[in-house]
Amino acid sequence: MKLISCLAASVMLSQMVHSASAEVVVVVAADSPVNSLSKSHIANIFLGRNNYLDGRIRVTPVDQPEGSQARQEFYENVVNWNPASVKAHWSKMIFTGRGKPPRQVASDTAVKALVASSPGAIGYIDAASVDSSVKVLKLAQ
Amino acid sequence: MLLSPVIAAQPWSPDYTLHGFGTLGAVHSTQDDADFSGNLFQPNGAGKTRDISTSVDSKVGLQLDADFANDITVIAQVVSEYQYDGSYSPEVEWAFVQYHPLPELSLRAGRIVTAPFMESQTRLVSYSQTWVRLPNELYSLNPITHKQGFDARYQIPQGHLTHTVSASWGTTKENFANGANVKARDLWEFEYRLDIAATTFRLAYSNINFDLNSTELSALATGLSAFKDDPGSNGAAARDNIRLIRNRGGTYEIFAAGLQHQPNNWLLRSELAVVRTDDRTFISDTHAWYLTVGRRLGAFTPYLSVAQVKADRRDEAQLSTEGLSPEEAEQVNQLNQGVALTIDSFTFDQRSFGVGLRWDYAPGLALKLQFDHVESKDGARNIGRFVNPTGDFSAGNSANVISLSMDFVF
Repeated sequence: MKLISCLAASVMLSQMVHSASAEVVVVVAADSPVNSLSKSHIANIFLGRNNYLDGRIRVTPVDQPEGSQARQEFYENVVNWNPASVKAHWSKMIFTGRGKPPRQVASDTAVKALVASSPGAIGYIDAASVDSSVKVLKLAQ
Repeated sequence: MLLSPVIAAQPWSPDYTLHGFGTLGAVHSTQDDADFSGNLFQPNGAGKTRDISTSVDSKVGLQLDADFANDITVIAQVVSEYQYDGSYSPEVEWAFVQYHPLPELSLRAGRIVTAPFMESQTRLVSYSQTWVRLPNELYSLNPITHKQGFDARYQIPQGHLTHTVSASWGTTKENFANGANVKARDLWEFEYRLDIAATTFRLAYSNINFDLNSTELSALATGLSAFKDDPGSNGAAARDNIRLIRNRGGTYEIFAAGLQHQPNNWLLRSELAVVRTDDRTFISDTHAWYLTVGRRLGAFTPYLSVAQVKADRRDEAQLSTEGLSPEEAEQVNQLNQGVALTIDSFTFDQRSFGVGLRWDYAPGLALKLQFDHVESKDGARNIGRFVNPTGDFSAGNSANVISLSMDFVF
């Protein structure tokens, strides 16, 4: 019984985190030729399966810290992968030498700084942090 | 954790990244007449030798990546786990140079992975798997984990699909606990993989040309060679059986299909593999499969698993005792029995049912508790995937196995 109530509590807790969350948007450099990407393309970029932002532009995905709300939101709503599955996916990629997880930076500000300065970079930030240095991508299904 | 280098690599002064993984595990088995082991190379395990064994699953691995500019990476992985000789001597699992002439094309040479099945590449990284260990009914169809050779892989993104094709060749030698060894002279592998969002399909084919050496097999072949020049049917039978028993240049083909599907918080994983052998080996045609279903509930993942391995026993020629002296007849009977027992012992027939719980209690750390009921079929003389049996172990035996493990990656 204790185990069941513990499980129930953790499920409720994860749902509460959901309802309290803010909106996360996907951003590229303000002068990027790319205006919209499909969610599945973004997912493939962040899972290391697609190396291009669009056409011939080599992509550099940028992650926020593990456990951060932006990262949780992004992976659950855009990539549609559970964070634990993502972690397991990258441990497989690393220990087969097949790839490295996205570069990780500390905050929305750091994501913006990196994205604004590199043409192939793509990141995600809280909608409230958006400014003129970055462009919010339209998400196609 | 898992940080990638922030500064771009300079030519000839690489960026180094160190990663590690490991498992601390304890296993209890109710079977006293044989050991439950982590793989076919381990000399013993839980059950007969120890009530609670920490050798079955415990291991630690370190991997050093050296990233050079020009898309060249050198990767070396060293692993310490319980080995055929009863030691934990670290072994170089992989050491290779990887070159990406294009982002989607990878070429590797050196000591590389052998990957007949979906999870083979991270067989040792338990953290990346739901279970305590890979279902050994299927994964032990090819226990060889690495080879010296090269591989090429091409990844083709197409809309929301990602196609990956790869091919590899290598050669290797592995030692077993009883002094036997297997030498893979030519080991070819081909793979096609399709990723669609959280779903993966995989098809693979392996072709292994191998020699299997052991003193028991050599002694049996020597015994049979006393009859190989017999002009009658016994000569032909002896020659056929010598070819089976000597295992020189036998062919071992594996056809494998796999599916992994993880919609939302569900997790489904299944693989099926069929092994075809030729008459240069006593190993029978075999097939194996498993099916695992799990559900993520926050940090917990309860799962259920069922697995089976089954072989179609190979026929051997029988030497006749007709017209022989009592001493010769006795010798022929022993040789017939020896050949039959050798084939029987590699005619695997085992199934298992498992239930477990994985708890991701911190980033990079997982605790797992798993219960398995393992049974080998009545009437067969194989010992399934157990090792180190006593004379009393017979088919139809079963075991209840409880495993507790902690996995980490950094």
